[in-house]
Amino acid sequence: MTRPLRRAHFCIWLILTLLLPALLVAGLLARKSTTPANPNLHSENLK
Amino acid sequence: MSLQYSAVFWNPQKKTYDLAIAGGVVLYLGAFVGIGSAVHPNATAETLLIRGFGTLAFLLLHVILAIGPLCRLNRRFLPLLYNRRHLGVTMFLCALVHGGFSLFQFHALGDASPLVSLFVSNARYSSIAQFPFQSLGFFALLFLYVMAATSHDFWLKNMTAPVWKRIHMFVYAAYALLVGHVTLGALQSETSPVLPVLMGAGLAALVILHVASGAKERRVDQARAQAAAEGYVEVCDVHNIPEECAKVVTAGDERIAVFKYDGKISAVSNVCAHQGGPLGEGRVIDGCITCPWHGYQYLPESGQSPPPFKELIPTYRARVVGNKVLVHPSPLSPGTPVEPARIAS
Repeated sequence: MTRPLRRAHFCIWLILTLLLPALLVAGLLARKSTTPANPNLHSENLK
Repeated sequence: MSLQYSAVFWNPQKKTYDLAIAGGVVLYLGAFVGIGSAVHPNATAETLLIRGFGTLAFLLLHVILAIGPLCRLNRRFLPLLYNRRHLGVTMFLCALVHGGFSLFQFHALGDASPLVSLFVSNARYSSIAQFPFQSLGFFALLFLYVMAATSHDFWLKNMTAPVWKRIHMFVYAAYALLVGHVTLGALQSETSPVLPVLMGAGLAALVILHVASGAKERRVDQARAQAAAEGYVEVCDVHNIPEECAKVVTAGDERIAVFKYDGKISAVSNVCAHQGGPLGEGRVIDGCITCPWHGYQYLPESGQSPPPFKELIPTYRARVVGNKVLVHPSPLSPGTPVEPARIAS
């Protein structure tokens, strides 16, 4: 009786297993610094 | 045909469960705001609350999604499953506070309506780094709202279980949207590796748990199908048999006493060889099935009375698959030894 439900869960998690790590990696690779470096600041020169 | 609304009955277990949830929420928010204001003294209270409620909702969603597979892997987690819906509603309320505060802080002070502003203020849908991630959170919140609003038993009965379950499977869509919301939102401006690592660990944990529990269910299904092909019939749940006692089942035309003792299951005829007493109403005493009528005893794994007695009763082959006990309905000759089925811990 619960077999269709378990099959649906299996398909959903198969898709999520492929989709979500790809999304996470793509998001991390696309990251940019939101604050541009300012060479006039003393603290920036220490980086 | 109509359905009547029944109020929730607050038994002690529900009260404990909800107190634990409320205590956890207060503790988490207190710790988040306290530590957050110490580490980031310039952060405003609104910002800390937005982040606190947001991270709490996401954390609770991970817990909610982990409960199902954990229970399938180990019954000790079953108390967590009890009233999981309360956890779901709490998670929705935390997400709603996060969303409401965010909408007010970032979209309520312009000319456009906050909801319109949410969708039109940033239309860079083709960019990953500048994706309008708040729209993903909005749709996730919409799914969570529908699930929280229909979480009461009234809706479960009204809509029927299959429809209700289908609606509540949208939790996976909400989770996917929230992974996108956090990855394309908070993680874009976060320079510390802590948040991405936690996010990846949470995702990996959920995937591993669901795959492992799915694989276990698959093995159980295969073992059940094989046992059925060999003529075994499912008679009861392991946990329905009291320790050192039996459950009497009917398989074929005979009554069979299925005993549970020392982590094992053995099946014997329900009829005592002495005067036909109901063995299944007896107990396992000193390792022997003991008839409730006159105390005649039999070894559960062989149906033989311990020496020097000579009485014999028929035995049955039994298996435990998952939580189910299966028995072959064909009796073996009286006194035939049968390897007991082991109960997986």
